[in-house]
Amino acid sequence: MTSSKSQRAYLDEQQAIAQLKQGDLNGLEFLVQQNQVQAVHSAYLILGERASAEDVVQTAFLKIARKINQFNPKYPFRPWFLRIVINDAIKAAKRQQKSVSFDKPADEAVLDWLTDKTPRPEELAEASDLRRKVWTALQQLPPEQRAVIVQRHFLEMSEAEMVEKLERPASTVKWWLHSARKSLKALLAGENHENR
Amino acid sequence: MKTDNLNSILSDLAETAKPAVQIDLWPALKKSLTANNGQSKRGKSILNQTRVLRHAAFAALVVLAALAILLVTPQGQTFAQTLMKYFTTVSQRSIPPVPPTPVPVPTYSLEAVLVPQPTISMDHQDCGERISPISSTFVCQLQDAQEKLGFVVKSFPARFVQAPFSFMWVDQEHRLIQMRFRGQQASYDLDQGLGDFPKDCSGCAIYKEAVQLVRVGEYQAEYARGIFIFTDDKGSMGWNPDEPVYHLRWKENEHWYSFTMSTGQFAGLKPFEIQAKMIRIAENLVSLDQGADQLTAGSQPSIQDSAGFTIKEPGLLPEGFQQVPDVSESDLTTAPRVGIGYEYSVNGQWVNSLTLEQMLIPTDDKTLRREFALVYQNQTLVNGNWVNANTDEEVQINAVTGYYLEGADPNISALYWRDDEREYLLIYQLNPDFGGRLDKETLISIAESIK
Repeated sequence: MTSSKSQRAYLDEQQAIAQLKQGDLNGLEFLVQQNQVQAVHSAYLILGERASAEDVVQTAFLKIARKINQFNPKYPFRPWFLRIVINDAIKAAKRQQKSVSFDKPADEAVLDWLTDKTPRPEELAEASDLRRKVWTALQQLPPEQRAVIVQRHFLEMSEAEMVEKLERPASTVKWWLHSARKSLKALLAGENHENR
Repeated sequence: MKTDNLNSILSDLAETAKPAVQIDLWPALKKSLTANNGQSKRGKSILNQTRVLRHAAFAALVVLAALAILLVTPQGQTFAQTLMKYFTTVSQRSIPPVPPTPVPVPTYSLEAVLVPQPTISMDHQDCGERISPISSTFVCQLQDAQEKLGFVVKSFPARFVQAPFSFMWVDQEHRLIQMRFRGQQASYDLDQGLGDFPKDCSGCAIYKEAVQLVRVGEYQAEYARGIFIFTDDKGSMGWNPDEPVYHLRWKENEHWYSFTMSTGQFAGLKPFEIQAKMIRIAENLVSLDQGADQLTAGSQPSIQDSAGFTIKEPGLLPEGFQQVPDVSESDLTTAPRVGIGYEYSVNGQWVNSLTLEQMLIPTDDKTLRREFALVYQNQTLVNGNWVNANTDEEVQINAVTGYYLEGADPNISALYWRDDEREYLLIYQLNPDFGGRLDKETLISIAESIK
């Protein structure tokens, strides 16, 4: 069942790409609907801003619409597209030189959510606190390390996939992940220490 | 913090910042696209189709004109012939049996002579005094091969190929090298050399219709799936396009490369994924200069180190015998064991072979002698007892009692003996098409020279 579903999805995607190659916007619409959520969320986790994340993804869709003839239909579309989004998000993050601290939250929605005053069970409060700490720590990482964390832990790519998509040696990807996790852990430990 | 927690926290963070149901980029994108193109209210076109068609028609005309000019000139005809030149191809799907070509082989007993020791071809501290497929690592063998061949040998990149190195074979005369890597899910073979591709044997050729033109980076390449397989016991062969054996060949300036990948049916990859994977690997071949960690099997220990005991080799071999590179190391994790093969071939045809198996003495009855009885002597179980139809003859090997074993097939015989820590089996096999024979005394001489 799963396999026939995924096969159908694959065929739909192939059809959409073929349409887009012929200049038919319906093909692009399909690709946008299928991939926009994951792309915006990934970009957001790297950039820390909703508006910038949407800009990056929108620009990426425009880019692939122009470059669709360069896409090899033998490969799945999503990894190719997400790689463009992540690279663009890293570049945008570098341009912004963002280093968000929780004292200056860039995203009011996240702040509202994290500081939600609505009474909730104790465990939910703990979970919320952890999320806040992770968010703060994540935004203090350099953009490349943020991207590695997003790929591994949000997009749930395996290390092997990361090696293939990033076209970097396995040892480099392992080192990046190790380094990013270590930084994240240190930042979380630091925050815990400060809060005591 | 557990990683699955981190995964769900990141998902929550993203979803809270921008819930999936609120993400809809399409209206803005569509507006942007149609505004940029200044047309198509119906949203049917991204680009100016007329201009695209005009460009396409012009490009097609240019290509056709160029081809027409090319193909009527001698240079053009040469070009056309080079379109498919890398594989040795055959235009029939089946190949009739090929009778063996008689070769001049002595019909008298072969004599054992001293095995010449390999010369040291380089000065490398980490590789020991001599390079051998048994005691040297893949990296040392590769370095040695480069010295002998005089060009930089490329190998598989560790980031795309995870498979243990099996063996390599260097042909200095024809300036080529073959390397084999055997993974659990796939085998990877890479041959490379200078000049033109060597001509393949008829059964190793590719059915012409199976060849596709592809590219490896900037280089033209040829790709095919399938192999010729035996279709009867007389030696007829037929092309099987469904065999999971994939071939890719290309040239980079004066170097040629032949990459073959064989997968099990269970590998789970679609053919087009394998083609893409092979091209990706081919585009990313690495050399030793880039660092041993970049190479597949770059950190693999030697067979000697894997075995955990000093592997012994014969000091005498019959004249003309050479070690074959495929050294087996079966069951190294449970019963340390190594098999080394030696062959006598003439014009590529196998004439005689010797195999030396050595294994730490097992604690159960799964000895090499028992294995020989089961495999070569048709030992059978009668009333709960194993019965061997053959009579094994006691012999002395360096003052140790051993056995001369004859197989059910008269062309197979062996010596079996033990020392304090391990047992040995030296199997001799003769190709009856060619004659020549090693007698018992010569086998004993070889066994006694093992150290």
